[in-house]
Amino acid sequence: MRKAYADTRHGQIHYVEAGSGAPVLLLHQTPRSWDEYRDVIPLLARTRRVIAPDTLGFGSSDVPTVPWSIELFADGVVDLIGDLGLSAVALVGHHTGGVVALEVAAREPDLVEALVLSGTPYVDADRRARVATQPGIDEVPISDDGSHYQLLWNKRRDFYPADRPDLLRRLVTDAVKVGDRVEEGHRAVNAYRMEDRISLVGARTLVVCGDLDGYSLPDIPRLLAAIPGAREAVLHNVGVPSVDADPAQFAAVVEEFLSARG
Amino acid sequence: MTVRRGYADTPSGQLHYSESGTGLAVLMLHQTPRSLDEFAELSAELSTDHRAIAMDMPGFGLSARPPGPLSIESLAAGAVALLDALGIADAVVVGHHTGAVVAQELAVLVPARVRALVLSAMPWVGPERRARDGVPVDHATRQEDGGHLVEIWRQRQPYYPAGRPDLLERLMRDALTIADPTEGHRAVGDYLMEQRIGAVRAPTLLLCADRDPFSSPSLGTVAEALTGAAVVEVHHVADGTIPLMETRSAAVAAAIRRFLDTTPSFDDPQE
Repeated sequence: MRKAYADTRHGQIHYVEAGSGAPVLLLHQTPRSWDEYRDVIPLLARTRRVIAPDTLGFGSSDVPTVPWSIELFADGVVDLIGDLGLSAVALVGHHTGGVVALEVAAREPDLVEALVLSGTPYVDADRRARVATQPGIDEVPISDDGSHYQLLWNKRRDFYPADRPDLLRRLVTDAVKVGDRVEEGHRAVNAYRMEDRISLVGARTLVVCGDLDGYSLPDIPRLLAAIPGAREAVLHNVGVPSVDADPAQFAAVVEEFLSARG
Repeated sequence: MTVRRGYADTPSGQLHYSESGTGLAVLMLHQTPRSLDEFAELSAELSTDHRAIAMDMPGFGLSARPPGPLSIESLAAGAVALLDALGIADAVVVGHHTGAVVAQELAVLVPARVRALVLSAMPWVGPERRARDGVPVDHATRQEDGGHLVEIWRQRQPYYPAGRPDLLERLMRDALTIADPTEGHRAVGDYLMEQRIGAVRAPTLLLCADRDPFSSPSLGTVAEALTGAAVVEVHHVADGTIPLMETRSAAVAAAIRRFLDTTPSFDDPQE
């Protein structure tokens, strides 16, 4: 695995790369980084060129000072693809990363050959109104005694299997890196006008979700209805952290879809 | 001044660094468990007329870690590898705490590559320190409820200025990025400083953070032990604490500039 930076219109974007062959980009959820795909990368890299960036504002990428949006995150991905000189890619995105992948596919139909929307919410007027009144997912006010770290840890604890504190630690590490803008990734998702953009997706698409992901599982039918020909897959016994909690199952489903040309 | 980050491919693996400005190269080496981020402010100060380079030392931040336990020697070898990869013949080397010990070793390991040495808050490591058997700072046992994160914060807080939680946040990011934030402290505690420091030839500026209770008592011993250095100067930074580089960057930059401008042997380090 090699790490590197590419230049984008919003600053430097940090990414990890492995393998050779047809390129596939892996886009992470809020508040993670490329590290979410740490154990998926070597599996997909057996047959492909795998590129996993830190979304602008996250991980080790530059932090744009302007307000964050799905469109801004997509700018970063489009510029990364350009900087790498790629003319056709597959895009895999999980949660926030899925929404970003969808926007890139809508904007650059000639560039994106295949799209995997993992745990991706369908964002329309209903959802925007509903989420507007909900408390933040990762937001904790900085306290003088450091107790906000414990708060953050406990807010995310129930997302993870009890026997995987290592995964929780990796998420918290990424959240701490994002700092006081950690909630902005979630807000960007919930401000996105997906209903105006999703019909522009021309790539063949897989909609995949963990069967324990109560946030995004109910949205599968709406995504399938909005993208003609999209296929569906449900991952077994995983929730929101499907990518890192069961990398073998996740990679197998992605690999099967990407290699089934047609 | 635009700061660019990058990775250098070296025989020691990928080393992560930041770079800004042009001119005489200044290489900056951080304390445990920090990263190149410790020098964000100082880089901005120096880069107006220097090539300011800060690195994640091997095993810290995003840099590859060397095989085996970290040692001051392996950290210094990483700094040489970065200079090689960037094609830098010689540099002013600035180190703070652990980074100062690494800078001192670097000046002994490759004297021709170190034009001048700035040792900030360098602890003295002699037999007494090596024999000390204690739990190093930044140690916390993982707890189910995340309490270990708070523990690291609380250990560091007394040495950080009030009203600057942002500085502690930056330290926490670095502490969480690496598997063991105490490893660098142990590397310092194992170093045979008294056998190496006398071989330093480079003109040396000792920066003393007056309100740093860990390193300030070492100043006299360090100064006396630098028997081979072309010049030894001491500069006290008033109100200097452990996060000296972030809080007193303008004073540090001014002291470094004055030292480089007034040190006679500076232009010919081989002499």
